[in-house]
Amino acid sequence: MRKLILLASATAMAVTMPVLAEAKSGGQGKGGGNPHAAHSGGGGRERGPEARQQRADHGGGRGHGRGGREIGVERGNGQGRVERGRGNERRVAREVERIERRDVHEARRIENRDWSGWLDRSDRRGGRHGFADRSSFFRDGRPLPVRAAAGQGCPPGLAKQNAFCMPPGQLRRAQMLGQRVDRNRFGAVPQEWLYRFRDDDQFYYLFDDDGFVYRVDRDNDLVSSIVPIFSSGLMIGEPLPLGYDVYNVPFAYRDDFVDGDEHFYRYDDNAIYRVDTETRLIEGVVALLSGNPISVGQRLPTGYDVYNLPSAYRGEYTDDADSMYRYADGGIYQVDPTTMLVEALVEMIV
Amino acid sequence: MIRLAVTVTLAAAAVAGCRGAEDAGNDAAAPANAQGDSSTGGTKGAGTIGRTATQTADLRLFAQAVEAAGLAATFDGSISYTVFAPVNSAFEALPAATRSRLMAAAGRDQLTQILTHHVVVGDVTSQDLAAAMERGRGRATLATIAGPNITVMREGNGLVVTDAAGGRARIVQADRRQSNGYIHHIDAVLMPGSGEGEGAGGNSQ
Repeated sequence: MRKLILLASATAMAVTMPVLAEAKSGGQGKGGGNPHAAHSGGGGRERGPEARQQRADHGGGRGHGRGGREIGVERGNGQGRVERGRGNERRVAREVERIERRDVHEARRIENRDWSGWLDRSDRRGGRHGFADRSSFFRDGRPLPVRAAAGQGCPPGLAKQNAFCMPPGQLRRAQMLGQRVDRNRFGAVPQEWLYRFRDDDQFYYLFDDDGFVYRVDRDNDLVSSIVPIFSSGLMIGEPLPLGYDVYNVPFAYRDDFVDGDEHFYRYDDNAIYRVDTETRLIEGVVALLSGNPISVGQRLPTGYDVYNLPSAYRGEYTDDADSMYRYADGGIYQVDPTTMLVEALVEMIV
Repeated sequence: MIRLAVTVTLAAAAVAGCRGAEDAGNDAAAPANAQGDSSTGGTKGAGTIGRTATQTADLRLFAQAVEAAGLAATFDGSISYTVFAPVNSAFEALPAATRSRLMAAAGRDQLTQILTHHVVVGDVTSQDLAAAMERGRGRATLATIAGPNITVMREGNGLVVTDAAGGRARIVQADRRQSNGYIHHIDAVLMPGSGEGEGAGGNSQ
């Protein structure tokens, strides 16, 4: 019987959730309010229909991941059973109401949590390894309570997972902010990271097997910050991490990749990434730089045995007995074939 | 680019893929064909590396991998690259589970690392390779975007690329000139291995 009720209530929720979400509009972005969708450009426009569909599908996103609605829809037999009698209907109605109350309570509990640690930009030791800047998915320091994040470019796979556009493991970790942790579950910070995470009078640090360091406040033993130390670099489809506020594209490429209204660019780890201005999600790589750069005055690195000038410059720079030329990262370099020393950067061509 | 984190499984897969390549016979492109001998008829009207890959049936899986890795914009831009692009059968030679893992979001880092091991900066034609091999006692070493080098050598009538893990791939179609570089088709997926320099894996042949 309990199964029956749950199935029926789940089916009913599938109908009532979107309505509920609509009714909750305003305030902290409840009800699918997406501050960016209406005026986003570029990628925002492209994602518009999908985002709208996601909002329609998920009814605002509250309570995602519980699976109740999905079960009801998949089995598709709840409605017939509900028709057995009005008693059942009343029980179903009560159950729906109970689940809705629980759902609202859960949503408020998460919304009202202090997420400041998640957005903590002040951790001077976080640096580029600090948590991803998910500010697009937050408002007034709290996460958007609906799948508004999906409308802002949350990958569909993640959008199905939870309202915060985070992998489940990451969300579980994030929800540990402000919580007490069981110290027995953690180990010591690896030796090579102690220079960044050394215990002091104010904080002590714990380390988990997944490569995350937890900064714990000594005053109250609550987790105040979580820092992933093994994940460096930029991840496509992920929000831009902290530490990339400053335009850092190599000079040779600055004319080609200028920050604009719809996109901006950041360099990291031999690649230039394009980032959506509205969502701050990393969209993709627009340029790859050599893994073995050439420097004037240095010996030509290994890997440049082959003449590699772009076709348009081959007439002008040809290898001969006195000089050879190699291209890397927007520059054409002149090399002494005898000493293999890089003599000059003869032209920038990007 | 990016840290090296390629598993033994992947390296083994490269070897498996290359084994099939060696059975492919001696139909590799002759290295002496002139630079600019393009399947697209020179740069005039040529597409970009990215566009051509998506429009070439035998590079369908490569194009999908490029898209999955978020590199599509790179190969549709104006900066010159030379890409040693594995043909479909090369990707199909990888274990299905490995392919699935690489194509999933969680495998993007590894996929990017692998793909960028197929890319060198600038324009490199088979003629350039031949000239470098002549100077280099039969070997030409190229720095890939991923960091580790690849080595090109002549074998029979064709050219063979050796990756940093020691796996080998044959160039089966050379010198597809594009507006932003060159595409050479190869018959195995190259693996960046676990260290700098060529042949680090030592599991070739």
